[in-house]
Amino acid sequence: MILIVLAAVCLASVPLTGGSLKRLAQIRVRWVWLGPVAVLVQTVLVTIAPGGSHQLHALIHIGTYVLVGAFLWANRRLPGVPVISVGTFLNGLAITVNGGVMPASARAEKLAGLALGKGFHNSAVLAHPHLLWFGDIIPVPWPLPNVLSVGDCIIYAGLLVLLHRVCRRPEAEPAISLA
Amino acid sequence: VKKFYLYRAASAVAAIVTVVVASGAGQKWG
Repeated sequence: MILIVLAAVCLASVPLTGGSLKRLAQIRVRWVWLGPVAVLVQTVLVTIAPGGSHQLHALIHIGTYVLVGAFLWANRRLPGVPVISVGTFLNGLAITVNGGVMPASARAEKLAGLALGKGFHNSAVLAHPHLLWFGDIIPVPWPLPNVLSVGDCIIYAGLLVLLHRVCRRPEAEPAISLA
Repeated sequence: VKKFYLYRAASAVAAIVTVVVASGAGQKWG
């Protein structure tokens, strides 16, 4: 939920700073269906059907990052997308080297007040995590308790770059002097 | 034409936001 709220805040920052989200119609976004498919699959994995084979869940979870990577590659020339790609790469790397699960800091989860139930979790405290620095180590407390990674922060910085580069008001033409 | 323009803007928002959310899905869906 916090990711959606953060995205909404980024979107709201555009009109609040004089930009117009309508200008997003001017860019050509390729393979628009990849994002919704990736989110849908992740939601099924974590929320709807977290039970069953952990290995299968982990493999499919990594697969969703392949979908995201394909989208980012197809849209790499859009402003901000290279920044988003760096964050996504860091998240994907941490998830891949940990067998399909994002390593989380136990301390961060405790500070955020999270308690995991049974079933597959795409982010979890691991006994022997790799690259924990790229894992979920940033606690976000109430009202939307969660844990974030460095990659997440980079992703949202990239989103802000994209939105504000595309949606800002075109700069006024310089006055032509007839003198 | 205006509806098409709004549709393109909305689809761009949906595509970008969902990719950003999926990119950060190392989190729980709390």
